[in-house]
Amino acid sequence: MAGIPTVLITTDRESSEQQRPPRAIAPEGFKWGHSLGTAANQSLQREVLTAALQQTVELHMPGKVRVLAFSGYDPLAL
Amino acid sequence: MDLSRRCVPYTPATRKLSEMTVAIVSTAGVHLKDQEPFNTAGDDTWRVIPGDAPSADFTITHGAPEEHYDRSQAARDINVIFPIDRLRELAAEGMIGAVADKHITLMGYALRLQKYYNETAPAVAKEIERSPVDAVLLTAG
Repeated sequence: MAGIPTVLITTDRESSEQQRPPRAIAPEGFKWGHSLGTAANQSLQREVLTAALQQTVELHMPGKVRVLAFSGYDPLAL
Repeated sequence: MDLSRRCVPYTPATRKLSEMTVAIVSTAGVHLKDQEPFNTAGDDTWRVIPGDAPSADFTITHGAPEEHYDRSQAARDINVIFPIDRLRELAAEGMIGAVADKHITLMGYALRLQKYYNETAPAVAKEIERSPVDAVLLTAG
């Protein structure tokens, strides 16, 4: 079989959805450049990464971006 | 392989996550400090990142304005956009099978989209397919 499963983490849901990615998540409210959260917040980075990788084995609608909420992200506190 | 712009190039997973070797392909402008920086005026070249590269050896060169792409967090911790340490932890814990022996980085922020679509992306896919990889995590700036 040709191809390798991919999963995208995007902070720009609108632009990414125009490209209709096979699997993608958009962490809700994350700023551009903060794909997995913020520096030194390893537990948040891990949570986002795990959620993204989980998409490779979960059924969802290809071409759509799944918006996921993560607690512990606070760009205003930076 | 030609891809119609109208189709979604969906490849089903054939393995469990715990058996997958995972690579990162990122357009966030990440590269190793001793690699040639990206040309911020526009660059469709890519860097091959060895799988064992220490996260402290990375830097970012990207043409996007700071207000569009905040590099302050990733400059302190590359895992914010290129989660190499987190991936290694998941591999050590058995959540994924392994971390790939190479990853690919680009700058993105491409103005010549047609060339990116027709040439750069297929070439990167070919590069990835040269090593055993079961899934690719994509990140952008």
